[in-house]
Amino acid sequence: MTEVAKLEQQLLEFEQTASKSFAEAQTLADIESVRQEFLGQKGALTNILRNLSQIDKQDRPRLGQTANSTKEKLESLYLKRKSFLDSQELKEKLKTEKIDVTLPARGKKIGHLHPLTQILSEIESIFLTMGFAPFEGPEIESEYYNFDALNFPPGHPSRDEHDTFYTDVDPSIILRTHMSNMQVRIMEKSPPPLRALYCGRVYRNEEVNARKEVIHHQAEGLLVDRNVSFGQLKGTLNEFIRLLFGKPLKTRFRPDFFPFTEPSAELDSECPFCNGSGCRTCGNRGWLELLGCGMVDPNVLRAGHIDPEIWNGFAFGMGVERLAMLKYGITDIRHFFISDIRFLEQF
Amino acid sequence: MKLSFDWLSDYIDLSGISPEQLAEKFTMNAFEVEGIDVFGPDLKGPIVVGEIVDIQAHPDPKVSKMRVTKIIVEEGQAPLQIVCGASNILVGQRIPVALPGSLVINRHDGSAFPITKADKRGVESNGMLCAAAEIGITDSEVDGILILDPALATKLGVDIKKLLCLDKDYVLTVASRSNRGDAVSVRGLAREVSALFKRPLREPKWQLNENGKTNYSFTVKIDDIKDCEYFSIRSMSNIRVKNSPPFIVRRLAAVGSRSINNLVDITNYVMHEWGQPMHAYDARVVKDGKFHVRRGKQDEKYITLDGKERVLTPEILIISDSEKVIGMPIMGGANSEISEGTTDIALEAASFLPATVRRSSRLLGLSSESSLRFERGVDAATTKQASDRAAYLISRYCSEDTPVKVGPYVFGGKTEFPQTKVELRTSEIKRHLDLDLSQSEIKDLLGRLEFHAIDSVSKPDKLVFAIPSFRQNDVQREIDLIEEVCRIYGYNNIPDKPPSFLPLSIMPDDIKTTIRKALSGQGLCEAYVKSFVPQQQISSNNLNGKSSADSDISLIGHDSKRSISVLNTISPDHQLLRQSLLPGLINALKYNRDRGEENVWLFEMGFAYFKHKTNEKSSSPTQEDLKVSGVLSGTRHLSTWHDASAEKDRNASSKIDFYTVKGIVENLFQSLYIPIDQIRYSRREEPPPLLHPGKVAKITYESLDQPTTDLGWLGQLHPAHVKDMDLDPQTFLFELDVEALKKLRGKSIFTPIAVIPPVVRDLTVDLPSDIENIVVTKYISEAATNLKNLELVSIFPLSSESKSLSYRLTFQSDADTFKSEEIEQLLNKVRKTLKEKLNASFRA
Repeated sequence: MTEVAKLEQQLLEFEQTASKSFAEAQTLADIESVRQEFLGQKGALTNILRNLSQIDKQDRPRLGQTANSTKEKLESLYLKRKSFLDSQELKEKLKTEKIDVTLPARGKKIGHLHPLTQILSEIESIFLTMGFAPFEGPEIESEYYNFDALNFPPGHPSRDEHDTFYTDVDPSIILRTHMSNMQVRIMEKSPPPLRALYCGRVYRNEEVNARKEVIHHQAEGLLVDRNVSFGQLKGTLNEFIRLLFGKPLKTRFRPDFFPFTEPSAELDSECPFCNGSGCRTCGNRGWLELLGCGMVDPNVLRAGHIDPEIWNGFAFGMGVERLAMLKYGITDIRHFFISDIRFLEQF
Repeated sequence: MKLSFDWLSDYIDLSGISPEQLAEKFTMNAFEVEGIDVFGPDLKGPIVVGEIVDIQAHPDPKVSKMRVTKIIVEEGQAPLQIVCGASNILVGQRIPVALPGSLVINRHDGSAFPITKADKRGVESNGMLCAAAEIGITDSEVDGILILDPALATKLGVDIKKLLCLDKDYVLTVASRSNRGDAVSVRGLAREVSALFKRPLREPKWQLNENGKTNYSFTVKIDDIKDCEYFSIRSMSNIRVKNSPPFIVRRLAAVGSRSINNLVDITNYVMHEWGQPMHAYDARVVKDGKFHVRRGKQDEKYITLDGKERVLTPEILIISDSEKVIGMPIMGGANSEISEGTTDIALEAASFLPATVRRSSRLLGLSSESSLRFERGVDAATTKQASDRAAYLISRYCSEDTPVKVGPYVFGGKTEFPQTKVELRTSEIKRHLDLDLSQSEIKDLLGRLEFHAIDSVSKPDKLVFAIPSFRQNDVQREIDLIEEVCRIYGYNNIPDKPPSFLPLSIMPDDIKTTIRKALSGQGLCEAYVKSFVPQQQISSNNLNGKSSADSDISLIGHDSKRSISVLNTISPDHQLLRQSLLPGLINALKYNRDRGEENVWLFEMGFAYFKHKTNEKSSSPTQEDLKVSGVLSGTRHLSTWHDASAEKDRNASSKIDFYTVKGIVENLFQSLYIPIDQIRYSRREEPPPLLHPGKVAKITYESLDQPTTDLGWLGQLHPAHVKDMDLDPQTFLFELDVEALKKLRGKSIFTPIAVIPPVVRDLTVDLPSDIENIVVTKYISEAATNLKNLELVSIFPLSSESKSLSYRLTFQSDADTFKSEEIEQLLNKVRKTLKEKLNASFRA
């Protein structure tokens, strides 16, 4: 037997033994030692190839090729078997690896927006879609913007109905009693046509009880344009009620008096809790008083330097707490300002 | 006001109209009706006046209290036998008798009690003698059978319900409106009914006879016609003060007014009927017969009918004789009060300036049914008629043997009541109401309210209306008439229209929503706290300069020089306006902790209020700063079992700390696109006294191109308050200025994503312990170019003087991959700088 033939024979036997060993390896550790044994730096193949120097130069390339193809074949066998064993091991591992998914979450707290913020943002969005832009103004206000400019006659009992807080800043500086303080301020800043919505805190010097707070929020809207009709006022507010309560509610407009609007109206809606048949929320009346509204009085337009012969408009104002109480079924207005987490987390 | 349906029917035919229909119509077209009450008993069947002609003991001795009576209920008829248990009856008395078939009231429980023919222990009883309560008179003091006044019960067999006015009545509570003085009366509301139901008004028939000389005569003097446009007095003599006739008692009771005596009741009655307040003076008291309408003198005294002494001022309008105050528009005087001995009176009817009455009423803290009407304005044009009506009723119901003498009517003030006119363009009806009404339709609608068109001056496009005297206060302009048209036409008959659309000129910048969402998204609950803080109580335990025992923190840090206080608060809790949101939030924290809630994360967005500093010039005298503030106390996670199981110190690992809150604040800045590498936290300034002086940071924004902006404060609650209020020491607070955030608010701009991978190196620096992180990072950033990110990885104390900080530096080149020598050069530069500037050392 020539040296070449001997080597070829060795390679063949080596390939068979190694293939068998790879195929029979049962664990990742097994296959790793098999790889070391046959393909490692000190493994069998290296030993075989060391003898390559002893054969004829002419035969070396051919034998080298054979040796390489054997190596490649075996390496691929190794990878195949290893990947199989990998997946086997993962399968085994997955049989035992598990957690108690019912343990409590590593939960981050979820914050809550105050119910008044939520309802105010609903009101603002609804009117934004109708083109009413938001405005802001002071809570500490002059009697001029709060009363005089709004056509409250001096010495008129309608001023008493407002239970005004006076301040030590100046005898004429008060805490605003309604959001209507903004009407003439807005007119002075924005020439007509205009549509404005403004919300904020208002103050009434009253005894606090389940229905009344010294501080509450109002949202008010103002529209000034040409040929604005009472019908448009009704149409706008009926749309608002429909969108706020998510269903068309029957409404009615009935006469009322506000010095700054004429005609003035109170808007009642059919009670959304009993659909008008009478329940505790509506005091068995079937109707709920939702907001006050009216056509802007010409004297107010004049105070805002707007010519009432050319322009007219309407305004409407609502108690935000009241709407929130109705919408969420809250029975005591004092909840809004206590900051009880058990209340706040419900919204 | 309360409106009696029965009384109203004196002035208008209400047949076919139910109280509910009337209420509905009023509510929808005039004034809201807040309720309908049934007034008076529900009596049925024959209950009549009878006379007792015989009383005998009951034959059965076991029922000794029962007596057998004989009662005549009809002249000339045989008496009825009725068994009665009451002891207060005598032969000859006239009493109410309920006959079989009638329904009276069970006086024990108020239920219906049917009367039948009955056998009372062997004696037939044909009815029942009634006690007051049994026929629905609840305010009687008499125990036993109601003995009728013989002067009243003159005829037998008369229906007792009619005689005593016991018919069931309905009382409507009608909202009174501050601009409608004309409608605070039965007649005024009858006018509304007339307009709404298109039925004519009617007037009860009466005739006043001025019949002679009275014992007293009077003169009127008005100081200022502006205060009092009209003042009248009528002298009356031969008055007899006694009980009122039943119809007056019942009607006054129906509208909630207690019967006093016939004279006072009649003045009240006419006030309710005509809306004209009236007052009767005992004529003997009026010195020199002089009525002088004037302002009070400073510190002048006056005792009102309620027995209280009032101290007057020159703002208060009063009526005096030649030497003393005897009356006031709001309430009569004790000195001129009508008493049983009064025989001569002066009857006043006047019209005072609403504003003056209102001012007096507020100054005295006193109001009355009279002031309510004066403040809304009374119709001076009908004052005389109302006075005549009262005089008529007095002459009829306040006499005894000799007729009442009615003296002449004397008055001061206005002598003429000119008609006013208001123009109404039909085009304006169209413009405001979008209604196409013809002139005749408009004339009809307004005519029903007694606004009559003056045809002679009206034109095709314009009507001129004469305004009746009683509406001259509130109808002065075209728009006032348009409102009346709208109201009578019916608000709900006007069709809905969509509003004309106008696009927004600019999309609103809603920074408040962004802030709220950034905070609630991080677990904070939003609170709304009242804007008021209480004035600090000066109590004895406060004299040593320490905070009071109830440890109220509301005024800590409050600048009293810039404080705004409320002058007329009715509660001590609502005295000052807050200058910070933090005290309110701390109180809210305490409230929740007291109720067992340990994890309290709250924020509020709201205003703080200040007077301007005296040297500041501003268009407004006050300043309102929008703040967003938070208080946090408790744990970082909802559930802490992970940390505890990991056998760490549970408190140390899961409690929120300064850096938790700092992270929340930084996330807030990031949500507004404010670059946080330009935010500085420093302890340079004197911190707010609510905060721990060593664990507090003033937050500023610093950049090269603009001046430093103060953003607010962040820190731990001062330990002194933790103890006072029994709070968790680990309580943290922040307060930021929203206007400042608004100015700094940025936009997100896309930066291309780097294609070259970054190189990350760690650097551990040993430093003296008092060197702040910001100093180190500043030098690293300055020394290292291409540094994209610098992160503190760990911090270890080495000794009491030194510490070890490990940073992770991320380098990012825009052009080429870094060679490792380049990175090493950068790091060496950093090391060198830190060594030179901070005496840092580095371990191998």
